Amino acid sequence: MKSVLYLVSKKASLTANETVDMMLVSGVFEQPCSVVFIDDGVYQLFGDMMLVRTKDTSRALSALPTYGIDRLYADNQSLYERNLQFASCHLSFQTIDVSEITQLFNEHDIVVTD
Amino acid sequence: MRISILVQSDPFTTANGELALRFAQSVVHSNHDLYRVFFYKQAVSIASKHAIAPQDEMQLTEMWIDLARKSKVELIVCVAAGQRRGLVQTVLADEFEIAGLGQMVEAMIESDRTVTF
Repeated sequence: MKSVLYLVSKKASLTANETVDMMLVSGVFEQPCSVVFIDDGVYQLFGDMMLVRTKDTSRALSALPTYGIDRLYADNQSLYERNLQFASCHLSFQTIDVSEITQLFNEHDIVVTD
Repeated sequence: MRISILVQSDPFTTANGELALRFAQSVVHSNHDLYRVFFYKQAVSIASKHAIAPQDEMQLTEMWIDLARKSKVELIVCVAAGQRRGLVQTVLADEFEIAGLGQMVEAMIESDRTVTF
């Protein structure tokens, strides 16, 4: 089974929801998946910050572990640059640095960007 | 080598629609097996038979149709992304088919390489 790394680099939006939909279908197919949030993509981990309902992907993201996708990572530098605190996030993820992201690229067969 | 392509960028605001087409043509001309092309997100607008580009612009839809007829590659449009943007069966251009996201994940599993545009 081919493994997939989803690389999320954009803020929440309707198209971001479509990326989450693809992750969920990967989960249904029991495809080994990891998700890396980088750049503005890290905002998606912190929910409905703008109080705009259509821009909220956090509810869909919180369903990922139910579909067997529990390897969620966030780029340390991207969190730091945006002053986002790990503690204020209700989703469970691991912070990693660029070298570890490179390692994830090597470990997966397919990379899907958003 | 068996290759599938995921096209998800807006063909009107980025060059990725054209790049995906050129890549697909190269795959076919190189005698690789182009297994499936899946249009998702804004890229679904390529599959509308009502979208006609001005004569001095690339006729992307026509070129995809031409490639599909010559190579028999499947051109799949995501049903959910299409419906969200008003692209339903009745406005679909020739050679394009509507199907679910499962077709993309299946293509990833069945192909040696998947390339995203």
